[in-house]
Amino acid sequence: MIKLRKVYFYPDSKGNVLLLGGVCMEGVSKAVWAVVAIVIVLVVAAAAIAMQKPAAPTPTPAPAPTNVTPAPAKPAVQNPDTIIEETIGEPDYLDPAVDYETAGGEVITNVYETLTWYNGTRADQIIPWLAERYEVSPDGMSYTFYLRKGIKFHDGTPFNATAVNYSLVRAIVIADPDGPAWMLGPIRGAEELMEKIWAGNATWNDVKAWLAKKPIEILDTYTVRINLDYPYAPFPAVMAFPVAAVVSPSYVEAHGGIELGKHNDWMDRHAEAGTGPFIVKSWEPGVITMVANPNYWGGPNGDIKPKIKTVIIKKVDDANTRLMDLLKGDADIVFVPVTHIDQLIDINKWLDEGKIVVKPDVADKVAVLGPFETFDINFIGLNQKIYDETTKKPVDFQPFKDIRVRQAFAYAFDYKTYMREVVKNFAIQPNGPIPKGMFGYDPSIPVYEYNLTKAKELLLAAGKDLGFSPDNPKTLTIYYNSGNLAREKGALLLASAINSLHVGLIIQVVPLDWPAFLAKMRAKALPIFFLGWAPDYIDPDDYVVPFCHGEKGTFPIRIGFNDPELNKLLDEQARTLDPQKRKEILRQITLKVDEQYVYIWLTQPTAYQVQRTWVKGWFYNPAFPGNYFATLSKG
Amino acid sequence: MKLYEYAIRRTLLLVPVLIGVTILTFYLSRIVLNPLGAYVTERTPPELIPAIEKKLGLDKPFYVQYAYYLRDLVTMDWGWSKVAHMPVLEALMYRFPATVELAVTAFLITIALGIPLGILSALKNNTLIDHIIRIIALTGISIPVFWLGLTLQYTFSYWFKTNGLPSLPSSGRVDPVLLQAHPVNRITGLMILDSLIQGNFIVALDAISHIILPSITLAFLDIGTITRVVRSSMLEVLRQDYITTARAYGLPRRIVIYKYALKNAMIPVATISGLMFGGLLGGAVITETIFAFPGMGQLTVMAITFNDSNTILAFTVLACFIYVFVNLAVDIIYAWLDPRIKY
Repeated sequence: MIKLRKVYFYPDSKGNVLLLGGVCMEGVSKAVWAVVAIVIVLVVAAAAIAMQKPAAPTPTPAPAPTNVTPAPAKPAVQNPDTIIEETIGEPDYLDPAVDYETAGGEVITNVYETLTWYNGTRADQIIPWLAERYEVSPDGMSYTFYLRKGIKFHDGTPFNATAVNYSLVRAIVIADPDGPAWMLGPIRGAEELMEKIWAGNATWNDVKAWLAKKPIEILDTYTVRINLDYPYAPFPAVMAFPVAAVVSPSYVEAHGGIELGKHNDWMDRHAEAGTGPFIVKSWEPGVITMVANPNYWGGPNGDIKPKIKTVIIKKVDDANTRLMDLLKGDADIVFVPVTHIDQLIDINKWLDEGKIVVKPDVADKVAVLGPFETFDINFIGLNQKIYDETTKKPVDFQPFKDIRVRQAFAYAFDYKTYMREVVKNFAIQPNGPIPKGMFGYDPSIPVYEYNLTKAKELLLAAGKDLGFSPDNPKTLTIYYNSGNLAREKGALLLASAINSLHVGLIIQVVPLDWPAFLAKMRAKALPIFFLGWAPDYIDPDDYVVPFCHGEKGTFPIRIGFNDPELNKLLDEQARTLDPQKRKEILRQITLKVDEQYVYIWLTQPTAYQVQRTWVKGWFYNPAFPGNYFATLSKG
Repeated sequence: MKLYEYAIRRTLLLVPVLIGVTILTFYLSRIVLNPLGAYVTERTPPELIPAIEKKLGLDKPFYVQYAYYLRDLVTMDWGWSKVAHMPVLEALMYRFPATVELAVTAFLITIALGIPLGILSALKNNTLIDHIIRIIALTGISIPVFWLGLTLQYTFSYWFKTNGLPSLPSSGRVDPVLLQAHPVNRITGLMILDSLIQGNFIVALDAISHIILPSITLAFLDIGTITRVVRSSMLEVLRQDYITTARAYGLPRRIVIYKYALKNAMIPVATISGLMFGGLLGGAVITETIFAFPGMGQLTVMAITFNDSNTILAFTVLACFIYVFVNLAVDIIYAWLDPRIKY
């Protein structure tokens, strides 16, 4: 009773302070302090365990005294029939006619197939796939595809020339302006029609008028001819891109058909009527489930039979969670960013010797394959005609009009430091717009060098003509899109190098959010910018034209570069069907654009694959948007 | 005024609140962000941008854009969610049940642990038990969520599994491999409820095992808060004269505490837990990211990162609805807790 009284009627007022922990501590006994101490110790201990590298708890077997290394106990294979991939992206759409990014591309290339595709690991060899063979007319204006017989879509519809015609017409008629449909532009009349659709004033009559021009002819059940507006060497590569994938016409018609200039919402979310080795069973937020196609026709050599039954692609944003799932075997393939790869490989061995060596304590579980060259090119654009964003007129100070300034900037970039410190050597230095591994890449063309002495000489000389000197400095700004760390560090590296020369050019670095960056770029108001380029169809045409063509190119317009002679060469390479001749033209293009220092070629990133050691049969092809699951097995 | 009249009045009050919220968020989304950002990429040809602006009505004055937006809001055309790759409304229908499931579980854990701990702490005021509980509460409030989430995940998911102990899953809402073998039809969207209704106990159990770690992570912080509120509120009530009177009448201690004191002590608790539940329903960004739980928080953060104004606006409106209704529910609970309250 006494105790209750004390508690109820004479409470210590300090004990009642809401949410103010410090005050409550007053007057506590030694016993309480002991408890506090124990709790703190426990928390710190738990933290210490948690902060250890995930691999720590499994002790590595000490090497045997003899030189014979004992075979590590092989972990039992989990989910032997299923491949679980954990990654960061999620598809925009699953419709090959409109999807234009790699997460969707990965799913699509496992479900749908194209008339031509890539030969195993070779991105520069395009082979007939759904077609048995194809012929190009001597004038290069029409391609005849002889289709394979006996292939069925997942819904049972037979694959034939009608389906090919239907699929190509479908992609062109949907004509998503943000999608890949533009690639089909060289098909006779297609570009004209799509431009009309983009402008918003096309009708089905226009489509009929276009079809009357016979862009695609069905010669018989298994022969189809595609006519072009002009000879176009990259066409077989375009036909290997998912936009040209063949879909089941009866399935599409049963699910909304084709609408002019509009997506098919059902097809955007479902992928179950292709000819490929897998079928999408479900797409819930963050989880895509695919099952094997038991009736897959086997590929050109008849040897591709899906060995696993189910593929699950999970979106897991946290890199630590992905690593943990990999190490405990709940994931088979995971995306590990460069920032986290040192948890799996010996990073010093990689940086110093260029060898990927998995750390011994995880080597029985994890394989890191690579490095593999991707087809991305990161570059710095130097604007030869800088505009003012508000007045929309060229500004007075145009340093990059002078080739000496452009050359000096190329000399001032510390490529080696950038490679090692920023991208951790997961990149190579490109020697031009065409990446290594692509048709037309010439290894004999040298890369730009880092040489501050030469940079200083050139800038001092150029400054006399352009009106800048150490006593009369001018300011230039490098912009990058905020959040992109690699670009930020690159911009700072270039700026500090130029600033250290004291030649009267002061470089500032300014981040912009993406829409602002884009607005400035459209206004041609970016003096220096960092950007990347990833391929559409795998052909050098998709690099040299966007980079170098003064009229059709993506970038030259934004940097005031237009070289009529180069344009002529660019048009010529697209029309040249003889590979040897084309290669020579591409070489000339690369040399021409390099000697004018139009761009500073920074990196061609290299990729690596992180997977469980029990995953077998994986191979890399830079043209693939993601994993090709049909050749994978576990065991 | 009757309670139901009050409820109706409060619901009607939602209209001006929503209009205010939409004007504010719409204005902010147009001023701070460029709504075009969601529709253009590095690959969009610059020539097409005026056409896209026209299609989205971005060339119109602000008040016209807002009128369009209100019309679409009412007609349930909430636009396209760039980050979810589907209409916003559909994305919310997919994501919201996951958040509800997580929020309800976390809330139940919070209430089930927080209230008894608070009561115990008050009854054993200034004893060792009280101090221990207060330290636990303080720890809960102070621990960063990401640290707790990663630690729980590391311990119960990774460490237990690699040491051959029964472990909990580290990511996702349900094991897709299991779901493949035992499919569950979508009824409410609540995975546990749906699988239980359909008698699919394997999936239900798996879904529960997936929700344990994220819900504990979420609950831990709130447990601390609730404990502290219950404790101080309980102590306050126990000092009231009517409790003394009740005790003086010789009523058993149990009756005094649980029948008379507790109900009155619950009024501030109802306020706090209402706000908590509202907050939980808004999605738990960090927890959902760590455990790859496909809820609202994850979607909203993606939407903010990728400048997806449709999704941000939709989320704001939804969050506003939730808060208004949760507050209404709290007010009704007040009336039940304290009959003196009249509306």
